[in-house]
Amino acid sequence: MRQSYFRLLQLITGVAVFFLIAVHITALRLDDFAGGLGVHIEEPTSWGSVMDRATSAGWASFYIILLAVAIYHALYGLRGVLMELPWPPVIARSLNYIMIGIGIVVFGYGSFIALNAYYS
Amino acid sequence: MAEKEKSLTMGKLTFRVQRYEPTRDEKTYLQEFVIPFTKGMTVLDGLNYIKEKLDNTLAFRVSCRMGICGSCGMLINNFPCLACHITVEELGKDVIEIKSLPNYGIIKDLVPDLTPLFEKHKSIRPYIVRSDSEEMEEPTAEYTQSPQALEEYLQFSFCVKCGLCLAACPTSATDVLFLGPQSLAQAYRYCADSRDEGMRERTAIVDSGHGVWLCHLAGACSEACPKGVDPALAIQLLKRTVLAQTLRLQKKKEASPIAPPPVEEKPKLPVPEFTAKPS
Ligand code: SF4
Ligand code: FES
Repeated sequence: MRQSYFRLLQLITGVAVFFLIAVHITALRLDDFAGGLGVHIEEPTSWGSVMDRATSAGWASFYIILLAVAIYHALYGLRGVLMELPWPPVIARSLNYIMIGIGIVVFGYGSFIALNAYYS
Repeated sequence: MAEKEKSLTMGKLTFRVQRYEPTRDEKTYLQEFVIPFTKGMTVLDGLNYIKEKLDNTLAFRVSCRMGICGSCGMLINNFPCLACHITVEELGKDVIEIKSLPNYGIIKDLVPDLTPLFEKHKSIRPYIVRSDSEEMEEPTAEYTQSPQALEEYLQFSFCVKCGLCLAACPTSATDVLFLGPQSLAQAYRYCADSRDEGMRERTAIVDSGHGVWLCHLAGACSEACPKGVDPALAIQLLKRTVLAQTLRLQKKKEASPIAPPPVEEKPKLPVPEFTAKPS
């Protein structure tokens, strides 16, 4: 497959991470600012508030999407950096698979937690 | 500066030259030669002096002696240069260290093995590709091109294949398979040529794991290039071309047509009477 598809995805996920993280930070840390925009969030880091979000289908999907997008963006970038190191050939050849493996494990674990909380 | 020049003009130069004979040496080493300074001398003049007067076993590549053939690329005081293109005064030092170009193997002393450069260059199909393969193999006439269309790639066509850009490139230093600035710049040069129809094939080659996306614009290639080619710029333009093609935003290019047969020759003016006529 052409590298430009992955590269394009890297650009798109970069922009997506920027906006999704902005929503996440606004919801968790900038509740006063969100209040100014007319969105009232009660004690965003309290247990009740966290569980409210975790059990909402919208927020659970939001976090799973953020997780997927951030994992792709981070691992693709990391792969680019790692590819420039003088690895033994066997590691250099497997680097893509190692990155995909790490991505699947992290995404599996993260989405398992999100889904577990949603169904709790 | 004046003091520097004074010390140069008064004195002798020390050339610390890398030596390596693959059948004898395990690794490279530096050998010192003291040579007289003459005004306006290039580093190549110094090497020629050593070869003629001090050690005729010293090996280096040279041909045109005027920055045209691209043969004499070397690492001079840690910067890739053409030895015939750089004067001792420009360097401003009386100790000059000369090594073979980095990012290449060494054949002997200062002679780099440029095979990877030429292989990579060949891989991007560095010639006009036409959909009409018969016309391409057996051309019947030249293709037309306007001066504006020529401007699109002219700068990139000044490349003399000296390989200095690849020697300077930090990405080539870490990934031997990286296509490198020279061949990527040439890929763009041909893609931007109005007579060419090989863009699709070429972008498929450069849009690979060791291709255009590995360049992170260090710019060392453009700094090293002795011909003002600016390979870093060509690579960025190539990235844009590749991405536009992936997004199907690339406008369909109408390749220049074959030039029409020449119009009937104008009758020549009669030779004036007073001119000696050809016998
Ligand atoms: S781009 Fe410049 S430095 Fe690179 S091979 Fe061509 S002339 Fe030499
Ligand atoms: S000898 Fe031809 S470029 Fe230096």
